[in-house]
Amino acid sequence: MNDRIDNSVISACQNGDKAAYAIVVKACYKGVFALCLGILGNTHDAEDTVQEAMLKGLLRISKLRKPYRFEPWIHQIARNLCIDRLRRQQRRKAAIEKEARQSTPKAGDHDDLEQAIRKLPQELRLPLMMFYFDGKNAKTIAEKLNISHSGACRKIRTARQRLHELLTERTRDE
Amino acid sequence: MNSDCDNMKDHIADLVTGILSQAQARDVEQHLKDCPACRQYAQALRSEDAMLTGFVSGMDADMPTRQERILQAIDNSNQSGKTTSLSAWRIIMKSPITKLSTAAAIIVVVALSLTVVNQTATDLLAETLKASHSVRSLHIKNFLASQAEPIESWVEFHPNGTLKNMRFHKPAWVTPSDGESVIVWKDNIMQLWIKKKNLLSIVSDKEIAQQALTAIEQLDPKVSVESLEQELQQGNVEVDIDEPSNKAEPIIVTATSTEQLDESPLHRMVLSIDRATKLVNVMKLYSLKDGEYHLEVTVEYYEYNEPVDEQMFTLTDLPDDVIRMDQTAQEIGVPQGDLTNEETAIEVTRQFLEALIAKDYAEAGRIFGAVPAERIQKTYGSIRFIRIIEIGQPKKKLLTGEYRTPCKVEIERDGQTIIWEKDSYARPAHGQPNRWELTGGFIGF
Repeated sequence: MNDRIDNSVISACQNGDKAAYAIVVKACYKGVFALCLGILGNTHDAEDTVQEAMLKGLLRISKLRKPYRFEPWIHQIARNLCIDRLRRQQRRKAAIEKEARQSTPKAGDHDDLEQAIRKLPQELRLPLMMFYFDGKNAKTIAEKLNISHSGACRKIRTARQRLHELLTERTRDE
Repeated sequence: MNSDCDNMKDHIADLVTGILSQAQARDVEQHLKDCPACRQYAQALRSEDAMLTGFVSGMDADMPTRQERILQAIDNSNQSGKTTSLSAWRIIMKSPITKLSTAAAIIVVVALSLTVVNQTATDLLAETLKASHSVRSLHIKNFLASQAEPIESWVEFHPNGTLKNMRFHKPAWVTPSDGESVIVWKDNIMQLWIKKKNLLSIVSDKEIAQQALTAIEQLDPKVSVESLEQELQQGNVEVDIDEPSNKAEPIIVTATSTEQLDESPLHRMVLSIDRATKLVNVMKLYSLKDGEYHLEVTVEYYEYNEPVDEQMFTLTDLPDDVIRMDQTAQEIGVPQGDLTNEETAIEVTRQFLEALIAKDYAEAGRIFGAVPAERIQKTYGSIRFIRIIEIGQPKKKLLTGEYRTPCKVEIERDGQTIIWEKDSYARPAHGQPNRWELTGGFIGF
């Protein structure tokens, strides 16, 4: 991402330039959203958390010592917020999943798909979301997740297979 | 699908996802031509791939709207370069008054009250630090996540906060080869009792004692709180404070690293602070792996400022036959003088072997770091050392700083004369400048 955002833009943000920060938000929003969706499993929570992360980034950007590390830095902030949200919602999450299992299937492919994405284990959902949001580039995913390329391909493959099982389960249950 | 098809499933998934090589893709496509079941499976995956792509495209279409909401919130915010954390955010969110429905409104409230409420984390840590400096004695239990038995210590501090006396119990799991051990530090003398080896080492050099002392100092709550306060001021952590309405419950301070520090796996510290005394009761350290926090270390603090029995800092329950290696009572090893390190290692080895040839076990023990003569005799007494054939070139071990020296000695054992080839280990003696001692090799203890 940082080859699209110049260090000078980050420096301007650190000097309080909100217009510069708007550029940063537009450039990195999608990646942070994919990360949050991958961890949290639903778009509503992901959106809230991205917003929280971006605002937190704004308040703290003056403390960032290495401007070229903005992307991993904002991703870590977002990741921490996701973990805190999951911790707070643990009981509520179990109730939602139970409700999802018991509820009648809703009309619309995207609802089925979202439900299935939500049911994926996080270690599969995260690379899958990052893969599809990032133009299906397994190499980039491997770098971001700090795993090997073959490891990333394996996770994406397993995620796709598991997603297929979840979607066909719902079809059989209808 | 047959068994070949089972093997093909992974390749089909990779083909659809687009991560297969061209050559492999051709092979898979050829199989699909001939296998209706696999063709159906591939079609299903392609359909789901299209759904995923459509799902993402839908998100993409909404991105500008989502971004706009954030930009509006940014415009409304009072950005200050001096604010360091959003701990205020969480404190305010706990208040029923501020459970507002829109993100924008929350941001406004945070912006207005950020300067005032942000003091809370810093104030609490400052109070805790001040309280910690008043501590003169303490009992600590340090649990590693994988172990049920803690490393336990009792410490006394000088009025200036430096370590005065210490007792440190190391369970067997820390160093299985040594087993359980006890270290006491008092009046600048360290006694290390290795129970499994029935060995008591007494040294006065703080360098040896430093390892245990450093471990204790790192568990000192004021060190942790002081470090946390600095990290907060530098913006490296964000702090969440939880004050339960039940006044009997402690205050929970959660500090999370904001930067991805690859060299530091500990991302989160949670302190449990007594409301009345502002002293730390429990400290928990967590690592972050695969998006989840894992508890790595729990430190429990007890008996703040309760008088510690003087006997705690001496070893009173030693067995009568414990092997005493007292380096405070005599000069050990050999002087280095003008010799190089390699020459000294050779000289130490030579003098030790000559002492064994002469059956001077007291001298041999003195060179071997103050091992008692009777212990040397017990180990080597059944062997007649005849002559030194060769002492080879020493090599330094980078990890320990010892010099490993190969030796050949003619010995007589069980009526047989043989050539004994062993390595000796030598290093500078701790606490005795310019003197070197043997530390190992030959027959160990």
